[in-house]
Parts: sequence; structure tokens; C-alpha cells
Amino acid sequence: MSQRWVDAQEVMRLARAQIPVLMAERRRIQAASAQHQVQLKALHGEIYKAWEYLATVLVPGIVPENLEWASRLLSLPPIGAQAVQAAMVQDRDRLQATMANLDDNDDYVHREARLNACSIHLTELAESIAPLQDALSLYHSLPHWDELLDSGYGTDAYAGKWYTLSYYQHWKYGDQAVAALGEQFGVKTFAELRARYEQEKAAWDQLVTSRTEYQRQQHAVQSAVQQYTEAERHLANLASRHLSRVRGVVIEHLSPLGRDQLAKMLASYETGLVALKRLDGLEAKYRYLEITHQRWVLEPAAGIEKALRKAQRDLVKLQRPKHVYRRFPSADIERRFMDRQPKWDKRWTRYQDSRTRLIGFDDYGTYDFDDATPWWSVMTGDAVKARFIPEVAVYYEHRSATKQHSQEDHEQQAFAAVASAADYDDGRDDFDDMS
Amino acid sequence: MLDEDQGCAVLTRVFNARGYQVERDVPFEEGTVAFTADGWDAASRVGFEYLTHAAGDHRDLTPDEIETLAARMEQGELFLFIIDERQVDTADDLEWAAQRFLDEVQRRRDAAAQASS
Repeated sequence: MSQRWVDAQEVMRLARAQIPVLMAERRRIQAASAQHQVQLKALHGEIYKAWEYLATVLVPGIVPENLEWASRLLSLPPIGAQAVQAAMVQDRDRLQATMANLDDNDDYVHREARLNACSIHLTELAESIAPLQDALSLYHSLPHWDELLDSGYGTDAYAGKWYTLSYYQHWKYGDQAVAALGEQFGVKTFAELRARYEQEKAAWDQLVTSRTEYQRQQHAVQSAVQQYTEAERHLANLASRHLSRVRGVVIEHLSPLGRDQLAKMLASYETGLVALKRLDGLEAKYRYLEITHQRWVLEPAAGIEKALRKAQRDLVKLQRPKHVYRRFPSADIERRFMDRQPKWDKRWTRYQDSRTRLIGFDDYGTYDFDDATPWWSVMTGDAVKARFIPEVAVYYEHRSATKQHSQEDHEQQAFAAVASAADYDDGRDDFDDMS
Repeated sequence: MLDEDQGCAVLTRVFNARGYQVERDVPFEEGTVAFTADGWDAASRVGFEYLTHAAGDHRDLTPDEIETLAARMEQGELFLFIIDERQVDTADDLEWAAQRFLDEVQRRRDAAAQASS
């Protein structure tokens, strides 16, 4: 059987037609990824609240009975009544000592008078500093002023040598400074100008030193007032702060434990178990959203990008004269440019359907920690198969084995029938070989 | 900013205008001091030297040599205008400074002549 061929012009036509299709798919992927991030963020907030709720039902109040009960239930001595009471007493004593110290602190005792005095002094100083600052700015705006000051020009300490260029430059810069400011300040030599500057600078330094001191005093008083206010507030909120701390300790203690272990721990406390189911379900939901997004969006995205690059490269390459008469096996070209839209649509349907079911799910109380059924099956009703999720794959294999060995098991048969009716496909993920 | 060549040209012009016969790149070797003066009037013993900071420039004076020359200048034995190339801004500034330096040379020589007569 002879092989059929396609010429370069036809390949270019097909590549040209494929590019907008791939671009549209890329945009769809980008939109889905953006939406995914928003949904994850919202879910993260829900998980945080679920932890808080679990801690709240485990430690409803700071009263000794609540603490003792929770401490025993969770095998967590640091939240026992005695330990918590000791921590509260220590905290209260510390805060009261802080307040007592501040009551003896002059800055705090005379705070209003001192703050007023500082404020008045600082205002006066600002008014005195401003004109001096302006005058000093005039000197510093002169060319080479700082160099003249540093060299000691205009003083007995000047060490410039008459046979060097810098000696004459200082002479010239000094004359220019006197020409610029001499009349305004009533001086005729650089030495006089320099003396006047140093006098004004000394006055400015003194005022700035005073300002710094008043600012330090003001800060010390404000700091004392702030410390007292904070201590007062912390004392008023002593119980609620320690309740929050205890709940934090509970969350820290429970976070690393396995959910099955937690379920056993809370088995005798129905309200806690319900809170745990919600938390576990939300965490599973978060996990599923990430895995399905990776599998059904990010992995296909790589194939789309690769196909786009290839199409764009071919459009450039096949225009070259040396490729004009090149031919390609028809079968290869057909495979490369076959319409993949139906397959993509099928994948998107699976993705969106599973997401809608996951995000819409709110019936966490139906979950049974003693049953092997994963959250995926509870949340989606197995309407969408996702064998790439390890716990789902294990469950399906287990269920399949059970079915083979227990054909008479009515419950399994009924389950399988329901699951089978809801299946969209044979469960294999067969999408997106774009290469 | 003037480079060394431009600066030396200005100084040669100013010194010569004041009656000196300055020659460029003159070997100077007296006592412990040996260098090539950028400008030197051997008869009047007046000249100038540009201190450059380029790597490998061995013609410049060392600090010890400058100190020795300074002592001899204070005695009125010779007069060398020393210029740090980093301090030269404009030709006008350099010319103004060179005129003041030569005024000072003249003042010192006049004072020495009066003292000896």
C-alpha cells in the first residue's frame, strides 16, 4: 500500500488554523487557574475558621471544669485548670507590677504637665531654629564652603602652602564668599564671615541639642503612657486572652495528629466530632481542588504550549525556500492536526463538574470516619472518577476486589450500580497528547 | 576639568608672559631631589610641577622631595608652583592662581634683595 503525502503549504495552512484554537484553549486554562487561586484562598479561610471552631467546642470557656475536661479528653496537661490558672496569675502579677512601677515613675505621674511643657518648648525651639537654619543654608549654598571650613581657611590653624594651587583656590573661594554674603552680614573678610558662621552654627547646635532632649523626654513620657495603657488593656482582657492562648495550644497540639486518631479521641463528644468532620472535609476539599487542577488544567497546559510553539515555529520554517517542496506523511499530519476540541471539552466537563460538586458540598456531618469511603466519593457521589487521587484509587481497587469476591453482597451491588450509572466514561484519563 | 597637557600650556603661557623662559619637561636633579619638571626656567629657578595620580607615573615628586623643595623655597633658593591635577577646575582659575603665585615669588625676591642691601 503506497503512502500518502502532504505538502508544506498544506502543513502551513493547518498550523495557521490550529494557532487560534490553541490560543483559545490557553485563555481558558488561564481563566481556570485564576479562578482556582481565588477558590483556594477562600477555602483556606474556611479551614482556619474550622480549626478555630473545633478549638472553641473543645474549650468553650476558661472555667476550670471546661479546662479539666478538655485536658483529659485531649491528653494535654498544659491546658489543665491548674496550669492555666497559674499562667493567668503570673500574667496578672506581671501586668500589675508594670502598672505599679509606672505609678511611681515621674514621667508617668507628671505625664500631662511634662507633655505640655515639651510641646511648648518644642514649638518655641522650632521657631528659633528656623531662621538660623535658613541662615546656615545660605553659607552652605556657597561653592566650596565646606572645603574652606575643613581646611581651616580664615583661622590661624590654616596650613595651606603658598606654593600650591589649593592655597590660591582657597583664597579665591574665600573672596567669592565674602563678595556673596559680606554686605548682607556686614563683614569684610573671610575670617569675619567664618566667625559669624561659627557663632550661628554654635547657636543652632545648642538649639538642636535642646530639641533632641525635649524630643527624648516627650518620647519617654509617651512610651510610659503607652505601656500603662497596654497593661491596663491586657489586664482587662486577661481571661479572653488566655482563652485564645489555650485554644491556640489545642490547635497546635491537634494539627499534626492523624484525623483518624483525632476521631477516636473525640468519639465520645458528638459536637467535637461534627466540628472535626467539617475540618477534615474542608482539608480534603482543598487537597482535591489542588490535585484536580494539576491533573486537568496544568498538565494539559504544558501540551498546549508545546503545540503552540511547534505551530509557530513551523510557520516560520516552512516558508524558507529549501522547504517549499518538502512533503510529510499524511498519517503524521492528520494525527498532529486532528480536532482535539471534543477531548478538551470532555476534560473541562469533568473538571467543572467535579469542582462544582466539591465546592458546593456542605454536608460534612454525613461522613463516617469508620467507613473507608473517601471524601471524594462523599462529595462527588463518584459522578466523576479521579483515580489519580491516591486515596480514591485505593478505595476503587478495594471496592472492585470486594465486588469480585462477594457477588452476593447486595449493598456492594447497589453501590456499584449507582456509581456505574453516574460514570461519564471508563474512568481513564486519556487527554492531551499534543505532541 | 583640565588635563595635564592643557594645564601645562596655560602655565607656560602665564609664566612666559611674566618674563620667565619656561621650558617643558626639564630634568631636575639637585641633592636628594630628582624629577622631571613640567615647566622650569633654569636661569630664574622658577617653574611648575603637575602632580598626577595615574598609575605608573614615575615622574612625580615624592612627599619627601616636596618637603625638601618646600624648605628650599622658604629660603628663596628656588620657586616651584605645585599643582594637584584633581584640584584644577578651569583654565581661568589656574591662570588666576599662577598670577598670584608669581606675585608672591616677586614679593619674596624683593624682600630678600632689600634685606641683603
